[in-house]
Formats: sequence, structure tokens, C-alpha cells
Amino acid sequence: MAEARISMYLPPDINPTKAAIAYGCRALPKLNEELQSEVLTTRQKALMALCDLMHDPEYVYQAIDIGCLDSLKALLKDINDLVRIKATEVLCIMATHNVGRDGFLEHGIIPALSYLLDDANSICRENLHKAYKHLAQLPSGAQGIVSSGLIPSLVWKLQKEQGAVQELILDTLAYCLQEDATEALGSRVVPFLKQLLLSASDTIRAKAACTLMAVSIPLQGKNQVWEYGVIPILVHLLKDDMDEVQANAAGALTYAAVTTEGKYAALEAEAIDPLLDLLCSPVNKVRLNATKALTMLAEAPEGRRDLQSQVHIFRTLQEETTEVSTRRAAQIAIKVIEWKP
Amino acid sequence: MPAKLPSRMRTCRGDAAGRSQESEVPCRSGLLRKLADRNCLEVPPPNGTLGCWATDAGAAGGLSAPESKGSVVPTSCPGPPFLLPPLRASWNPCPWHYLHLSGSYDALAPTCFKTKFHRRRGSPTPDMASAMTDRTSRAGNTYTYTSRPRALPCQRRRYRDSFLQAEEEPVHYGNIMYDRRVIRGNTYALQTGQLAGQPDPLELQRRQQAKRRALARKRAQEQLRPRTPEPVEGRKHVDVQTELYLEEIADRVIEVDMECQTDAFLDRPATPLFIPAKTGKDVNTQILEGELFDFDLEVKPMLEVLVGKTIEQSLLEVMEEEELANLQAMQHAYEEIRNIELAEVQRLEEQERRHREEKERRKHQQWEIVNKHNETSQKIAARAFAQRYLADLLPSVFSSLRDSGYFYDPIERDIEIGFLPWLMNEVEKTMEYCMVGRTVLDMLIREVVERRLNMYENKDKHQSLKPEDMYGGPGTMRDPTVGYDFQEQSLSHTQRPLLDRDDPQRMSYGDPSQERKYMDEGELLGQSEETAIRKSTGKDEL
Repeated sequence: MAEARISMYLPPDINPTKAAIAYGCRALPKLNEELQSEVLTTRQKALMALCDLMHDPEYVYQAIDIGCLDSLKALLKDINDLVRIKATEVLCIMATHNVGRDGFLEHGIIPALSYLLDDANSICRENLHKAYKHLAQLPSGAQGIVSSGLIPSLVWKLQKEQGAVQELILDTLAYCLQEDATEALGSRVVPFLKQLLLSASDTIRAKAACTLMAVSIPLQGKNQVWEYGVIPILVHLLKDDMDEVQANAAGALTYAAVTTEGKYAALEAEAIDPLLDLLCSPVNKVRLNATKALTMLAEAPEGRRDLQSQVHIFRTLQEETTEVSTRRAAQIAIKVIEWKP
Repeated sequence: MPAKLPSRMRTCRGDAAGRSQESEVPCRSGLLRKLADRNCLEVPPPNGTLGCWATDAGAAGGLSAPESKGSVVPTSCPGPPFLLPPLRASWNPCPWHYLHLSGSYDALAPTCFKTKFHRRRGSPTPDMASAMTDRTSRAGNTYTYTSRPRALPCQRRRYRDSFLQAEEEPVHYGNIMYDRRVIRGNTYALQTGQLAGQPDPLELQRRQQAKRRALARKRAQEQLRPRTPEPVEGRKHVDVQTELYLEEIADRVIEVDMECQTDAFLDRPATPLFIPAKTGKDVNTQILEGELFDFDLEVKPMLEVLVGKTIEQSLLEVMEEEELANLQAMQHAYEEIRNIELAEVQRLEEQERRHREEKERRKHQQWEIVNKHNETSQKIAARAFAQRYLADLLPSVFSSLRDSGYFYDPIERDIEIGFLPWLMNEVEKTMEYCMVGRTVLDMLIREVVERRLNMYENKDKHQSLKPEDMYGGPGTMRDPTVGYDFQEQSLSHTQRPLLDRDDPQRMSYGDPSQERKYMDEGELLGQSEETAIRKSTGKDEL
């Protein structure tokens, strides 16, 4: 039987670090008020409670509706570390939802977050970059990031940061550069990426190759890639162990070899043999990119000559593969190799 | 009931005074005692706070709330501080405690905390008084008071609280309706009961009489009592102790100084758990297994719900994750295809561009070739035409030149250039010889004539016309004198401004000046004139 005494202890499922969440539709307005309070502990507790609530998209929508984003923007400038960390975490969780991303773009969160790029606390910066990465996966989000002029600072930060944060920045840049790469090209992104291509970590190499692929889509990027001599490094990466790295390197080579100079640079760096090896790889993405790269190289007369002896590989690829895209790519490759002027 | 009140108060007072606060052992005597218990539990200090007595008064009708409830109230004082306000609000049955304070009495609220600090008795603070004054003055300044009407706070706190600021607590006021000091009912038939300690005058009198009588009786009895006989002379009665243990008897009472000091403001310790003693009859019962309910049967629906919900939730989460993974995979596949397509597009663009450029170049080349072709044919045609046109240019040119005399016959020219000048020279020379001869002759003649003249002058010195003739003479005879002093005269002739007279002669003199080397040979005047004419015609020709 339960005792009729009132215990001196608090119930076991109350977390003293979280604010109490009001019932029903009062939850978020109350939390919003608490976010604006002057007392530090109130703010911190409200932020922790908000973190939990933001996993639900309905709450996200309601939060943006009542203007939580403005209070969060004010909190980003707070002196206390925990407040900033939690605020960035909340924003990061909100960015995983589409409603949240749209809210970001409307309320101008991007410039507010950019003040924290130089923050001393590393967790804060990590959350910040996670938020940016989620935002950049949306085309309008990437456009927003580009138009707010953040790309040069991100490229600069790419050099400064280490580890996980670097990977996040690389991802963000890869998406943003697919939208508009002119600013990045102006801020010397290609030399940085060239350094990163030789880094020790697998994921960083893979992501750097992916970003390089995005960089070399516009013509200026292709020219810069050729000028800075990245093509030999890419050819070297084709022999790397990781599939992801190989695939991305092949993709980057594909784009870089569209221009004539790129083609000849690749041919000089003897890209054909590694690419032919990659055609036998089990991963579809690798085969696809390798096929495309060889197609590019076959446009040049020397490449065509070298590849004419290897046409049978393409034929087998075309017949065996299950993926539609690979089959088409192989077909196109055969057509290009056998073209007579 | 008014009659009850004082008696109850008295008993309560007696009880309160008689026992310490820790002991909450209830006295057992019916309903009154029960109430008294509750009174004691919430026992206010003797200085008379009125708070929950009134509660009991109001709730006398049998609020058989469990003792624990009653115990909550005192324990609420030192209890967990941040739970205190809500607990007090929720648990305390005292209606006063939500008399506090609708917002209009904000002015009053803080003051009562101050009262708790400053005083034990509820006396008005100046603020409160002034607040009241304000209110009443607003109503109308018709009354004056020696003591202003005020609301009395109820003193609940007696221990210093270090957890809470006193100002934060809500003030609890006493309700006048439940105040024991207010006399209820009719006042004309009031029992003017005395306060404790003040005896009734009738009672006093009786007691005094009784005392006197008792005294008289005692005196009377003492006289009758046998006493011990007086001591013999020379002896004295002395009291002697005969007990087993001797006792020292002294006038002075042995005093021992004992000191006692209360601890300065100890906080009231937590009330120990009140576990009431068992009352009533003990009855036991035993529920055997299977008598009440079948656990397995009953638990099934609950279990089903629990397990079902859990599994459903986890399934949802797993499905969500799977969906996310699928989306991610689709996104990757799409990215690949997009990249490939983009690369393809760029390749085709590049190809197009190259082909186009190639075409342009070739077209350009062709165009150039055609141009060159045209040009060369034009050049050939032009050359042919020019050749033909100029074919008889040369003869016609030559003929026209020859016609206009630009071509000279070499022999003729040679004759003209070479022979004729020589001829002329020779002619000149010859003429000069003649001239010289003539000049000499003229000189001779002149000499002769001069001599004759001199001779004549010498003869005829007075004639003045001679110098003029001399001028005319030398003028007309200039030609002969030329050869004589040739150089001086030529210079002087050229210097003289006699152009109109001298032109043909000058020319003739010019010629000799040019041909000085022929001077010695001498020439005739007519020859020189002839040469002059020839020269002039020659000049014209040339």
C-alpha cells in the first residue's frame, strides 16, 4: 500500500536540469518566455526542454510560428557557454526538419549563426556546422548560404578546423558549390582542397574529392583545377583503397577532363589504366564514374586510340550490369570510342 | 458557544502551559480533548496568535482530518522551502490563507512580513496604518481614532527561518469572524467572567473570611494542645536528631548557582513522525491466493496494451529510420545520376563546341581559299589586260617623245654641244683678235689725236669745252681704251649706273670679262657685237 506520507524527495523522473513543460498548447509559449528571462538557470533549463521538444515537427512549426527563433537569435550572443551550445543544438535539430529550414531562411538565422563561426567552444562550432550542413542540403538553403556571403569564411575555416568539423564544412561546401561556385573559386578553395586530398583520414579524402567534383562543374573551376595541378593527385587517388574516395576522384576527373587542357593533363598523368581497373569494381558508383571519365578521355584522339583496344570491356559492362545508368553510360562510351570524324 | 470558549481556552491554556512543545502525546478525554489536541498540535505560543484556533473553532464540527494533516501545518514551517508556498496553499484548510491578498492589497502584503520580523504581537505597522488611513481618508475624513482600525495579522512563525526571506511569504491575516477576542451574541447578558488571576470580589471576601476562621481555629487548637514542659532551671531544651542519618540544619539554605542558557535562536527541529498509538480492535484477515482475482487473467489486457504500445512505438521508430535510410539511398542514387548526367551534358557541350569550332575553322579556311582563288584569277586577268594595254604604250610613248623633240639625234647633239661652241669660241677669238686690233688701232689714233689736241691746247689753253669733250671723247673712244686698261674700266663700268646707255656695250664688256684669257689676243668691236647677239640667241634656244 502506498504510504500516506508525503516524501521529502522529488519524484524520480523529474530532471532538475530541465524546465517543466507546461501542458498542451501552453508548452511552447511558456518556454519562449523563459528563454527571454534574465535568470541564467531559467534560460538553460528552458533550452534543455526545448531541445527535447524540437524532435517533433509539429512543435517546430509552432515554435517558429510564435517567434522562438528571435529569442534563440538573442541567445546566440549570450556569454554563457552552455546557453550557446544548447541554442546551437536546438537550431541544429530544427534544421533537420523542412519547416525549420524554411523558418531559418525567413528569419535570417544564417547571419546570426555566422557570428559564432569564431566561437571558442568547439561543441558550439560543431553544432553550428551541423546546422549549416542540414540547411545546405536544401537547394534554397544552399542558395541562402551562398547569397549571405559565407562561402569565403567557410573556406577559410576549412583550413583552420580539424576533424569532424572539417568533414561537416566539406559537406556544406559540396552542396553550396553545386549551387554557385564563383565565390568559392575566388577564395582559393582549390589549393585547400588539394591539400586535403592528401590527408590521412579516409572520410576527409572522400569528402574533399566530392567537393572538388562540385567545384569543377563550372568552367572556371575546371580551369583552376587544371592550373593548380590537381589532376595528377586525382589520378593517384584512383588507386586508393576506399571505394568512396575512388568514386569521387573519378567523378572529379570526369568534370575536370571536359576541357581540352584537362583531357590532356589527365592523359599525361596516365589516368586511363587506373580507370580501366576501376571498371571492374563491385560498387556501382565507382563503375559509373569511371565509365564517364573514360568517355571524356576518349574524346581526345590519343585517348580514343588507346581505348579502342579496350572496347570489349565496355561491351561486357553494358551487357552485365543491372543499373540502367551504367548501361547507358557504357553505351555512350562505346559510341564515343568508335566515332570516326 | 461563548460559554465554552473561555473554559476551553482555560483548559487549553493550562495544557499549553503545562507541557513542552515537543511532547505531542495527546491527552485522552473525549471530543474536547481531541479538539484540544489539535489545538496543542498547532499550539501557538502563549502570547496569543490567533491563527488556527479559529480554524478549529470553525472546523469544530468534526473535521476528523487525519492527524497527519494537522501535523503538516507545523511541519510546513521548517519544511522544504520551495515546496512551502504551494503546500501551504494546498493543504492548509485555514480559510485565512487564501485571504491573502488579492492584488488590491499589495500595499498591505509586505508589511506583514515585517511584522513577523519585528514583533511577536500583531500591532499595526506605520505602513499598514497609513495604508488604512489612506483608504479611509479616501472614504471621508469624518472619523478620528485613538487607535485606528486595522487588520490583525496572524502570527504563525516563531522560529527564525533561514531558508526564506520573510518578505516573500504571503501575509496571513486573522479573520475577525473567527477572532476569540470579539464578543459575539448579546452583550447585555454577558458573563463578565474574570480573567485568570483576577479573583471575584465576592470570592475574595469569602476566602478572607474563611481564612480568618481557619486562623482562629488554629489558635484555639494550639492552646489546647499539650506541649512539652518547660525546661528545668539551668537546662535548656535542645532539638536533637534521632534518625539514622544525621542532617545538618542550618539557617542558610544551601544555594547552588546553576546557570542555564538557551541556545541562541535554534531553528525548530523537524517534527518527529507522529505515529499515533494503536486504537481500536485488532482484526486480521487473510486473503488466500486466488480469492480476489486471478492475476494472470487480469494482467493480460494490461500487458497486451503495454507490450503492444512499446512494440508499436519501436516499430514506428524502426520504420522511420528505415525510411530515412531509404531516402538517403535514393538521394545518393539520384546524386550519382545527376552527376553523371551533368558530366554527360558538359561532355556533349564540349563536343558540340569543339565540332562547331572545327567547322568554323574549316569554313574559314575554305573561305580563305576561295578568296585567294578569286584574287589570283583577278590578278591574272588584270595582268593580261595590263599587258595588252601597255603593249603599244611603249612605241606610242617613244613616238610622242620623239615628236616633241625629247629625243635628240646624237650626232646633231654632238655637233651642237661640241662643235658649235668650239666654232663659236673660235669665232669669238677671231673677233677678239679683230677687236684687239681695232682697239690698238683706236689707241693709236687716240694717242695721236691726243697729242695733237695737247698740242692744240697748249696752243689754245682758254677754251673750257675740252674736259667735256674729253668725256665724250673718252666715252666714244671707250672701246679702244678697253683693251688698254681693261680690268680697271670693266670694274668701273660695272659700277656705274649707266644702264640705259651701256647695255649693249656692257654686254660686250661682260663678254670680255668672261673671256679674260682672250684679252691678250684682242678683238674687234663688230666681232664682239656679233658674238653677243649669237650668245643671246643661243641663250634663247637653250
